[in-house]
Amino acid sequence: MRNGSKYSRAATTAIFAVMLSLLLPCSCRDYRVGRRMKAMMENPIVIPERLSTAWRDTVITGSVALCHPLLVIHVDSSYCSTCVIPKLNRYSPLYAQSLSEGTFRLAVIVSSPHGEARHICHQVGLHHFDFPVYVDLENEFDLLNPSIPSDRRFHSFLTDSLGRPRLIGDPTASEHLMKIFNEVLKSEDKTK
Amino acid sequence: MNYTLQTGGIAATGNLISIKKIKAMKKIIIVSLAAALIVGGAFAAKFAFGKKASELFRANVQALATEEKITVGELCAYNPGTTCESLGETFKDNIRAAK
Repeated sequence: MRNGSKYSRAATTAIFAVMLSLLLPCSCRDYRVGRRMKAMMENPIVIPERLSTAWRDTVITGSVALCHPLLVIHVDSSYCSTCVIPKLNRYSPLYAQSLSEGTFRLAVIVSSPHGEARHICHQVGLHHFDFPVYVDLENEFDLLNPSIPSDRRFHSFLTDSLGRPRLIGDPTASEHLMKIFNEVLKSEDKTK
Repeated sequence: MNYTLQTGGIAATGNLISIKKIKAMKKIIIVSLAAALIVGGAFAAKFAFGKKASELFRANVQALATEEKITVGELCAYNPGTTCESLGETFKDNIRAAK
């Protein structure tokens, strides 16, 4: 009888321990991500003034205006550019969506490490993307936007027309993010 | 009959508090602590970002937190003496190493 109560007590304790170990990390992880997102969403994004794009065999130097919702995909200078650039093709359907719906614009920005700007421009030009890929010639994007965490999940975001991030995450990374992306676009459209 | 009980730092002297009562109290304390932790966690998860936090924001937090594809960094093949042909690129360092 005494042994039975000992076992039941041990089982109850184990159940509580399992419940806590499942619940606490989930809420802590969500809280950490949410706190960083909130901090990032409070600051408007600044796009560097000097961006170069090699698109359809022409090199244009200029900037991207933040007058419409803008989906920014930022490849920072710590990425292996030769590995990432060929994979940028996956944003082609998003660019097509931006053209057909007209609710947002797409800006894929590749920051070049010091002294590598020409090499990055050449790499971008080689792939003949059907959408413009901007090269951050002076590697200014990170300096201008200190509110963006170094975690790469935060390097893609949708801004509103004032430049404040409204959604954080790469819509091509998961179906869930794509669904939220489309919902945010709808809500932005309604507020116009 | 007088006796002293030492349970988890709480000393009870006298015949008023029985062993059974102390055990029941311990159980109640443990259960209430666990319940408080669970309720606190749920409360923090729901209201940590303020009442103004929209459903979309919460969904975004969850989607980002549970994003399976967490990129820890692109890997580059780096073999001194060879070039990374699969990437379509010849790294300067590789050429230097080959020399």
